[in-house]
Parts: sequence; C-alpha cells; structure tokens
Amino acid sequence: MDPSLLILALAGSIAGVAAMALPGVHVNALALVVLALAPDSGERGVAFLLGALAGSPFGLALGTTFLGASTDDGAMPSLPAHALAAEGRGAQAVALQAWGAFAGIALALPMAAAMRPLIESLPWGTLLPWLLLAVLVLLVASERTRPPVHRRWTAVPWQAHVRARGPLQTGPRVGRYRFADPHKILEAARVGDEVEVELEATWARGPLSRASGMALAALTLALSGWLGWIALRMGAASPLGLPASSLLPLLAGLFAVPSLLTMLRADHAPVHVRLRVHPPPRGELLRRVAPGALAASLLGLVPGITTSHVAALTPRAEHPERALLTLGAVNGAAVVFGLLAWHALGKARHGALVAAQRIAAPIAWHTTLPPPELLSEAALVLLSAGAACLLARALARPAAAAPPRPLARMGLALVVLMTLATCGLWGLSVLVAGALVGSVPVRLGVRRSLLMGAILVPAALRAWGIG
Amino acid sequence: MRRRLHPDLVVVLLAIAGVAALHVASALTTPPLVTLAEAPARSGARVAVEARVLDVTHGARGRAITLAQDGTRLLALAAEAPGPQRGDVVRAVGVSDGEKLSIDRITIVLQAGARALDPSDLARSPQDHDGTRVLVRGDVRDGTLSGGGSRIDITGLPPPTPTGVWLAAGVFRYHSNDASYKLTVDTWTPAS
Repeated sequence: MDPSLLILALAGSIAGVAAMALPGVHVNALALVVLALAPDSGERGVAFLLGALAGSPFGLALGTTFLGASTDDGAMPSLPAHALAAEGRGAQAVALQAWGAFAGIALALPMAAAMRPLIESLPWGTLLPWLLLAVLVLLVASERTRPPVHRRWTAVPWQAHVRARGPLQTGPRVGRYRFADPHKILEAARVGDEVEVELEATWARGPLSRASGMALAALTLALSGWLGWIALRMGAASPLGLPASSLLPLLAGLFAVPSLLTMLRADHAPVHVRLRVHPPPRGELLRRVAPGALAASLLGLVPGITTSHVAALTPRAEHPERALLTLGAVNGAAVVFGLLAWHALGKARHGALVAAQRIAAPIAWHTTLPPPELLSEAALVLLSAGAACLLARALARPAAAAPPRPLARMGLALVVLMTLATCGLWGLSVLVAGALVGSVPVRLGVRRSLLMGAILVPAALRAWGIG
Repeated sequence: MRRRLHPDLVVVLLAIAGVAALHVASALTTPPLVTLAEAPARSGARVAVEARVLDVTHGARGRAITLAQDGTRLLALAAEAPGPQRGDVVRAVGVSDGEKLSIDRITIVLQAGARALDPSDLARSPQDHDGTRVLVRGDVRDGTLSGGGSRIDITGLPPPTPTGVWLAAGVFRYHSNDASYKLTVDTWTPAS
C-alpha cells in the first residue's frame, strides 16, 4: 500500500469526523469541496474521500449526541443518544456509537464479500421498481404517529365557563350530542328530557388515528418527493464554475436547516460528560452489531434508503445503550455496503462516492475474491475508521462544551454560502423550499426519515418509467 | 369572528406553496442550448441539446438514445415512450451527469430523411449519420453518388439510369477504419 494514500485516508477521516460533527456541514459538502479543489487528483483524491466516508459515522455520533441535545422539545428528542446526553452521559453515547460503527465496518467487510455474488446476480432492472414501491408503502404503513382526530364533547358547568372565558361566542345549537359528563351536571336529568348544556370539544385518539397517521406520512412523503423530483429534474449550475449538485441544497434544506433552526431556538442546558466509559463485553457487542450490519446491506442496494429506515428493521433494544451500539453498526456498515454497490454494481449511493466517481472510475469487482486494489481499499477504510473512532472519543469533551447557538449560526451561514456558490439562486430557492418541507414532519409529528421521499419518489418514478 | 389557522397547518400550507412556486419557476425556466461536446462539462446542470439520433435501445428501465453532433456522441437515458427513430434530429432536455444525459423531454426537430442532404453533408460528419436513414441528392456516376466535392459508394437497389441527378433514400454506413462511406439505397426518385 502506498503510504501517501494511507496518510491521505487518515487526513480524510479527520475531515469526515469534523464535517459530520459540525452542524450544517456534511461529508457530501466536503466531497464537493474536494471535487472543486482537486478534480484530477486520481487515486489520492479517492483515498481522501474514502477516509472521509469511513470517518463520517463517528462524526455523526458526536453531532447527534451533543449538538441536538437540548432541554427543548427538539426534532428528535427520543433519540437514545439524546437520552444519555440529557443524563450527562454524552461521552458514553459517543463511545457506544463509535464502538458500534467500528465493529459494524469490521463485520460488514466479510459480509459484503459473501453477499457480492448474490447482489450481482439479482435482476435489478425488474426488481428495483418493485423494491422501491415496497419501501414507499412500508414507510407509510409503518408510521407510528396516532394523531387525535376524534372530537369528544364534554359537558362543563355554565358558570365556570363564563367566569373562565367571558361571554359565549356562539349561540345555542339544537341537536343530539353524545358527550361525557365528568362533572355530573346532568345527574338529575332523565332519559327523554330536553336539556341545555355547555359543551367543550377535545380531540382524542380513536379508530381513525392510525389511518390519519399514515395519511400524514403519505403527505410528507409526497411533498418531499415532489420537491425532490423538481430539484433533481432541474439540476444545478454554479455561477462560479464549481462542481454543482442539486442534492446539496435539497438535502441541506430538508434535514440540516430545520435542525439548525431548532438549535437556534432551543434553550440549551449544559451537558456534563462522564469520561470514564467501559467498553461492552464482546458477546454483547456482537449481538447488537450483527443485526445492524445485516440490515445496513439494504442501504447499498436501494437508493434513497437511510440508516433510520434500516435501523427500524433491527430488533428493538430495551436500553438506549444497546440501541446505540446497533445504530452505530448500521451507520458503519452503511459505508461498507455503499462501497460494495459502487464496486459491484457501479452505483454510487453516497455523495462522497459520487464525487469519487468523478475523480476516478471505481475498481470493478466481478470475481469471487476481491482484487488486490480492493483489499488495499478495505484496509484504508478500516484504518481510517479506527483513527476516527479514537478521534471521536477524544473529541467528546470539547464537543459537549461547544456552544450550540454560535455553531448553529455558523452552520446556517455555511449552508447558505455553499448553496449560493455551487448552485446559485436556484439552489437557494430549493434550500428555502426544502427547509419549509423539512419543518413539516416536526409539525405533524411524523418521522423525519420520510423526507427521504425526495430521493425515493424520483427514483421510483424513474424506475417505473414515469416522468 | 375570523378563526385563525393552526400554526402547524400554516407551516404545511407554506411548504406546499413553496414547492408549488418552485414547480412553476422550473416550468418557466428554459435551459441553455449547448453543443453535445459541451454537455459533459456541465455536470449537474440542466441543459438542452440538438443532435441526431444514431441509435435507440430499449431496456427494463427505459430507452438509451445515442446522440451525435459534429462527431461527438453522447448517451441519453429517457423513460420508455414512443419517441425518435434513428436519423431524426431531436431537441433533448435533461440533466448532464458528466458522462451521459438523463433526459425528461425529447422532441423531434427534423425527421430522418425529411430533408435531402448533399453527399458533402454526409462526408463532413459521417459519424453523425452512421446507421441512419437519409435522403441524399446527388449525381449518379460509376456506382457513386457525388455532390459538393464528395462521393459516396452506392449499394442495394441500382440507379434507374447510369448517370444523372437523383434523390436516393437508404441507410448510410460509415466505416471509420478505412474512412469509406456507403449508402444502401432502397428508393430512387428523380430530382426535380
């Protein structure tokens, strides 16, 4: 192995950790910068990008644990990393995700080698449209939100109501109403009596709540899909002649900007870090990592699938610590299966690989044993991941102490500047529309991962030959 | 009394309005017309090209259309639909990815064989017409069709007269290894 490639990969892993840890920045943005600065860098540029990709799950662990951790009811308060961070155990959350990610990468490498013949032999041309359709249907059907859509009437005492709210705004309505009477106002009334009561409406969950939740999920998916279809169809051109991709404003608008705005508004409490973290026993680690790595294989196969989608396929963990190991494994193994799709199918599923593909063509892998260049690449990825794992753990303390609001402001400024530089005013319009659509799941209470409809829906339409 | 909209509904309506506005803006935007040689350099951008269709193949995920212009060839991918034939000059609109075009709109500008070409037109850019059906106006002489200082070998249906000006319709072939041109004629029409 060329030592300079190793040095570049390690440098890439540091950059990848930093890019994913900083709010508003992403490894895809870093890849665009590399492409702009060194479009003819060949295998050196690819080594740097592979290192960045391998380091990205570790930076993500830092970013999601500390910079999303707030006392506000933010976008993803239920994330296990936030739960630990809120208890002052953020360093443990980072360590667990980092161990999971490294183990996921290590485990996914032989799994990818074993799965390659199967992946290559599948009839993707006919399978992909159905696979994408199934993913879309599953995303809607698996929505867990149960909005309160059933109106329930409750009788309230007249005087109490008038005292509390002033004179009534509406006149009396005559009709038959079914209502609850917790204050026993009608205790003396008999069946058949005509009574005049003051009713208050409340919204409750009921039989239609599940269908309503699915309808809200479908709305979010359709809206993001519509936006993605427009953005991808229109492409992007840089006013400065830089490499352009409409994915940058699209994904930044959908995911980064709403999170950054939430960070700006949130009332951040200081997060304490307990630094002494013990690694989990090997058996426990393997039990949690293996399902995550296996589920992540879907990420390499189907476009538009995210780690949160496949994480839902893993067994539910009873404790946040265990969930974090699995989540880390999904993120880590996603890197490996992305590389498998790149080499075996020629499909770049990560932004960093799209950039790498423009710098140098991927090494094709169609034999049982991987070619020597791929073994070197696997070693680069593993070493970069190891370095990133150590780095992420070392950075846990400074990350916890980092002021989120200035970072969020800096992130927002960076997103806007990068969008303007690479995609011009059109990109800025996509960013704004993306930010509006990205706020919808938080408002409706549905999963944010539905926003990946921006990639899934156009991919499904293309696969089905529509549009 | 006017009821105020729920803040969540306001956000959803704003999002719908934002995407709809973007849709309208995209429909009103005309992409720049570039040459086929320029298109790969505009990676990620939406462009329009005018080129001749050299080949159309149908796969499980749509059509692969080979476009040619001034000796440059480029692959364009499009959804399955009744579309252009070999030799048609088309205007294709789509996003360049540096290697190929993903097109969503393709219109025929000039149908194959709709306009009579001169043998020199074919000789100037033979790659753009290779394998396509063409209509050529030329002087028949010694088994060739000549015009504008260029000559094309003719095979297939023999010319009605050994000499004279004729319109020949057929499939044009260019052999790059020996730089020879051949027109397999199936119809001869007197040139008026």
